[in-house]
Amino acid sequence: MRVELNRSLVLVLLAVASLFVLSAGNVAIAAEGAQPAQWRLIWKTDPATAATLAWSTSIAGKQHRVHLQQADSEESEVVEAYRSGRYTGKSPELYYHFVKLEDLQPATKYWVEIESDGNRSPKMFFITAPKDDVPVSIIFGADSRSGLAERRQVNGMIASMVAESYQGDRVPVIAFAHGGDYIVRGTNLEQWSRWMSDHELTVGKDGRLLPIIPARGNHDHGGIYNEVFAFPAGELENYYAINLGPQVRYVTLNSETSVAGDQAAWLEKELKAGRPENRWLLTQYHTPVYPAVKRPGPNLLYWVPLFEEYNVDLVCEGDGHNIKRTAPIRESKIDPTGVTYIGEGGLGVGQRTPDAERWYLRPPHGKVGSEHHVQLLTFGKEKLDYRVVLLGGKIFDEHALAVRPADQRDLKASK
Amino acid sequence: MNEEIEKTERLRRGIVWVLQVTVTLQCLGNWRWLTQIGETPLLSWLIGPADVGGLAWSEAAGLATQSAIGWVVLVAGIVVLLRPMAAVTLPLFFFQLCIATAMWQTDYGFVPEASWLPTQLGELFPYSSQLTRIASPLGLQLLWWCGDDWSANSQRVDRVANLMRWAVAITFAAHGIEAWLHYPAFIDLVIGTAWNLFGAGLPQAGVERLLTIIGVLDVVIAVICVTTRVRGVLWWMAIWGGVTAFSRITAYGFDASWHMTLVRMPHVGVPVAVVLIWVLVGWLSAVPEEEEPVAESN
Repeated sequence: MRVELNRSLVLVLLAVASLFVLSAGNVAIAAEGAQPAQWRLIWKTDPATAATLAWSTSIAGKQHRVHLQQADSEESEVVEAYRSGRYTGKSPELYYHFVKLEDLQPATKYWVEIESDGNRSPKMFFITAPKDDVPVSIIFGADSRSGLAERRQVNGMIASMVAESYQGDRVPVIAFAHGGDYIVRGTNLEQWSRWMSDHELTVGKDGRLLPIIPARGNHDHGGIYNEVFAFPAGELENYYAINLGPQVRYVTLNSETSVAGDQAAWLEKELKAGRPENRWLLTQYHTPVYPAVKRPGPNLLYWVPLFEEYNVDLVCEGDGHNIKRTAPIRESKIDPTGVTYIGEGGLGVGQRTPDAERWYLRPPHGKVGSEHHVQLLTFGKEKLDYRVVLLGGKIFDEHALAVRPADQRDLKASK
Repeated sequence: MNEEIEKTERLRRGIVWVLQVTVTLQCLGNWRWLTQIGETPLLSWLIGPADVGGLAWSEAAGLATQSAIGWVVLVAGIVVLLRPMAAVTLPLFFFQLCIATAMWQTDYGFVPEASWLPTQLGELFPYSSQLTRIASPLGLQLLWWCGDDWSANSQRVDRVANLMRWAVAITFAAHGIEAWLHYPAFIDLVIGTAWNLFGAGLPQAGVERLLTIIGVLDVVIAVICVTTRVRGVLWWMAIWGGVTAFSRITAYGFDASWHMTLVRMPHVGVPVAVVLIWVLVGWLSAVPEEEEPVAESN
């Protein structure tokens, strides 16, 4: 028996070793030397006055900073990176750098030039969120983890949509909210590197950087997510809330950490404080509670009662790989005063067939589909306009939510 | 002497029966998972794009294949209950291996991360956490091949028990690591169960401390399991396996989760089978050899 066990052990070790060999693949070169690449502008705190700019280099380098200049000013300032490090993972060799841009003016254009060891990026710009009560739009999407060609096309479409939104009297798109599942394997740096490179395609031809509001998906486990989106190392919470304007509160949750514990308690406090102060209250996260393809996650039990208690207007979800807009739902029934759920991720991943027979998806109250898409949300003073734009530009769905009456925004939240 | 033989035979049949029921319940759970719930790592693997480890089947083909497999698994589970046979148990073994492989390929479930752990090894974690489910039909078939007379095959029987013991220990250790690393799903299982059963709202920090203790204990128990033959350890593993399997129901409700409880029945049945085999082997080694009758002298 000892001989059999030893033989078996050798076979197992050989099998494991071969997996190491087989899993080593070709690695795409993402950045060259200290030349900055893979930039992303991240909104996680107050987007009217702050942003985090992150980028990559393929060597560690010594000096990493950003040249920041307000568009209508002659003066510029240099902001040093507050954190740099090597992304977790053996290959490719890639380093991240984060710069915190603070004390910015709301609704203001800023030029940025990223510099690493004397190498500079192209000059780009971004616009901070407004502090005045003006209409704004965001683009929501999720699940860019596969379908890489489609992902690049969708990113290009996003850049075009953003550029168009600043023309004429359209409502400008100020950010891109991503509901998670950027890649397939959260510990695979190569996949993350490809995503970051593809994300550059959301930068406009005029150099406009589109801020991203990230949520974590079930495929985004591990430490690289924090390194890509400038969260503290080791953070598992990854939930936060920001104001897109003085009347639009956007709460990002994490369906991939405990949904019943601290996060549920935080969510209740956040919704209770946010509801009376904001005309529009939204949440985004990855695993849906009223799914069109899959089964609900455990967040159905812990979050939906809070969404309904505090009259959240719209919930943005991913994971299903389809297009979904539910009926307004309250206490597991269709209710005009209820919460509407949209999603479920079409930024590149192959699309699934939704189950249109589910009670909350049937027309005329709900709508489902199955094509690569983004969802455009426009926050006005009277209504929230929702539009699904397919890859190629066709409009698949349009819907409007009216502002909740005062008693739904104030009364229940103040108990 | 005949009583001893009968007692041994009853226990032998009981051990096989434990594994038959275990595998049947496991198959019932898998049937529901594959045919009613639908979203499994197997489906993700079948329809996932090839450039990210999938087999790139169409959604329709993937769903149909998964459903067909689910029904075959159910029939196999019923056949196993009536009479185990290699034509059924070995495909069930490969089916469970396939589920673990699909979990690996699609990055499904918990992936431990630590600076000392190579990423590829961490990604193979599903094989360890699923090992008892993989070993359950295999152990049943290997015991069935030992025939009816375990006294003549006691060493072989003991080897099968060893195989199952290692599977249980590795699974236990794997879940211990998950608990120690505060796997979020475990946090919610504890919070949900405490609330639904006892109306107790547990703070997350307290649950995490509890999971740290549970995780360390699980690893210690796993080590004891493979280095000693303390029967109490296997009984504990069976009880804890049952508690954790049923926690899916206590946390999330019966309808949402009973299949997840049933697929975990090997966490109960396999350690029970192992400890009963030890008892049986102990009896067999204690039975004295039958004396040859002395020829009568005329």
